[in-house]
Amino acid sequence: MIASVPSLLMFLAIAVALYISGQQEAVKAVRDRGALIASSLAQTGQYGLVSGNNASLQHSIRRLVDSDLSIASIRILDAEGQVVADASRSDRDAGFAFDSVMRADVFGLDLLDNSEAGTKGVEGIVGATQGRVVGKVTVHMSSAPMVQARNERIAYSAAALMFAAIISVLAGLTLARRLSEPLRAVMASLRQIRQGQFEVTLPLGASGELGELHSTIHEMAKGLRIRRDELETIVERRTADLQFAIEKARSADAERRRLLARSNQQLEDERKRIAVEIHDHLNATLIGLRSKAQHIAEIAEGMNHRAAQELHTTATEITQTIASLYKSARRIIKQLRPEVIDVLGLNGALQEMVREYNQLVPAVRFSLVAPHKLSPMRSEVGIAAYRLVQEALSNAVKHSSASRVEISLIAPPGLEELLIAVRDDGIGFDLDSVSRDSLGLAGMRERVSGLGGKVRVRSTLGRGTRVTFRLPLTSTQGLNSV
Amino acid sequence: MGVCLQVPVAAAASGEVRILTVSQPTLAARESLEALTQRYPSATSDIDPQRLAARQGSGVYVALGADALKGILEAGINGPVLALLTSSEAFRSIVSSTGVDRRRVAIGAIYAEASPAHQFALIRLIFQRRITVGVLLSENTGHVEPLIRAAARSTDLDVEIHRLERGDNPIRALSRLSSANVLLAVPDRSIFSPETVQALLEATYRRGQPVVGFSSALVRAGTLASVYATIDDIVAQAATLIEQLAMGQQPIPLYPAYWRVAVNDSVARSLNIPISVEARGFSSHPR
Repeated sequence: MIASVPSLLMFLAIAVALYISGQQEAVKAVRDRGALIASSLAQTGQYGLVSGNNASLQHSIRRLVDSDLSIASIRILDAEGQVVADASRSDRDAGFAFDSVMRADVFGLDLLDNSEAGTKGVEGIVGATQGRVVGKVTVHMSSAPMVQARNERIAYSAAALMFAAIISVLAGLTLARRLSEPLRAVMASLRQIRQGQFEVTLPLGASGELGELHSTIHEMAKGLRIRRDELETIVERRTADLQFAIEKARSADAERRRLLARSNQQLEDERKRIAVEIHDHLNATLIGLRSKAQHIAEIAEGMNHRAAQELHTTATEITQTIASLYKSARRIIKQLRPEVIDVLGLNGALQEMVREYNQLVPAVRFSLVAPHKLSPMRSEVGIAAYRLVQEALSNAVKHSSASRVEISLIAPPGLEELLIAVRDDGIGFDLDSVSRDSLGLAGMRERVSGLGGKVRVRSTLGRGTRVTFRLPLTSTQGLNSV
Repeated sequence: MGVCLQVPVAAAASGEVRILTVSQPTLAARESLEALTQRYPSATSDIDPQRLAARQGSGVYVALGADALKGILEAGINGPVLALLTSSEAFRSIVSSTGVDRRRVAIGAIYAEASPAHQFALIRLIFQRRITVGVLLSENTGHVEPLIRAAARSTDLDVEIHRLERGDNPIRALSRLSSANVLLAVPDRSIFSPETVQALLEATYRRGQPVVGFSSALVRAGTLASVYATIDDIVAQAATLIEQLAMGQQPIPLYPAYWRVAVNDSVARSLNIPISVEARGFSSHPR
């Protein structure tokens, strides 16, 4: 329908232009005709007026008035102003009046001329000139009939234009419909192609641009189908390769974890063996030496001999040194093998650790939030948890400038995992710049990874750091209560 | 041919031809002047009759046209006068109005129009049967009526004459001649004038009534045919008259002695009137 708007606008413009120009033309035509009739009557009526044939004049102008509806009246007067002939119509208004003076034609002729030049036509009659006034003709014209006739013509023209416009619109709509249906089919096919359906149902063999469009869409669908099949083949192949690579990566990761776990276990075993070695041999030896030094000091104490006194002092100093060595050995044993886990369990070991840190670092307030009893867990999990907390506290003391450090221990029932969170209120750090270079964080991640767990570090500059460890409690390996 | 009478004294002198014309001569006057001066190389021409009259010696005065005739008569010239290019009606009117004593002043004329006898002869030749010829006359041309009737008799034609009263409308008067088969136009300034000729011809044409007469100019204007005298015909005839006037003979006005026929073939075709070779060849030429 929008396509028909220009046609309708054109129709309206032409109709208005016809109406306006028709009105002006009608008035102009009436004026021209009135002037022409008056002028013609002044010429043709001259004979009737001169000859006195008034009846002929009356008859002539009567016929003229009857034959032309735009003439309201015609009046012919003689030179004295007397009406010679008069004809009018009662049903016409006299809108325009035209006067024309009737003059007798005067021949430019010497009536007695017999000259050679005149006879041969070289000179002679020079035409008629206007002579004396013999009368006057007055014509009154009415524009109504001509305007009416013009309006009728405009109406017919407008009707013809309207008919043509309607035909044009109908033809346009028909053409649009004939064009839109194939285009809808084309659009449907294109939508199918966009959705990956390349089986186009457009008819082949149509002529013209539409046929060319159908053919092009068919070719495009065929090309896309071939390309899709090729891509699918490539994707399948690449997917298979990727899955294979993923499997290999998973396998490598499991192996790595296993190796890490084993490495950690070996490390702990080695630490345990060294601790036992120090406990069983070094400490036993130190105890023996301390007993002997004490015995020497006791013997020397009973003697009044200056040398004995020096011996007593030296033996006492040796006893004290041995006691100090023993103490150091005990601390080393504790670090190598926190047997407290075996005795107190993870919960108790961590409480002991917190107590010690509070003693060692009085500027920082360490606290532990843990359930009274934890679920049973593998011994390596307990050791790993203990080591992870130990590393986290060490990092906090060294880098955080914190005033409070809180350790939370959660083992939600049914989740089969241990959640450990170490949170401080220190200065925080930039994870991107620190994580790559920090051996402590890397060690924690490796230790957690070896157990199949996860580490999450969140830190905001000025707002502290929170390190969360998620460690699986169970494994195919044996469980130990810690 | 005219008849010259013997006049007593002065006019018999050797004669210089003195031609009077007007300031704005007609074509016919110009051609006549040219023809006369060729024939009379010593001839004098002027537009002022007094200057001509003041010339030494005697001479024959030739007036070319009615105005020249009037001028020369009003100037009181005593010598003989020959009027050319003047109709019989104008000649009579001017001579009468100027009160010239024709016993004292010899006044001759060759009328501009052909005689009624020649026009009737032409009508007879054209129609070749007895028809009625209508003629409009006024008080100025009443003198022509006897000539017309005589010509009608001699050519075995009927004539119907309507004489207009002063003030009558000549066009309306044509209705009085509606029974006439042909109208003979006679030079009469109260009937045929430049103002009336178109209406007269239109009126006769509407009636299908052919008009004959009275000059080649009128034929060109729309009459069927006319007998007329060319300038050479007039001048040839005038030479004889000038000679007679110079010899002191008393002239009388004459119709042209030589003539020929002019035909308007368009009018003839329109009115369906065949013009025979005989009619076309009706003429008289100077020897």
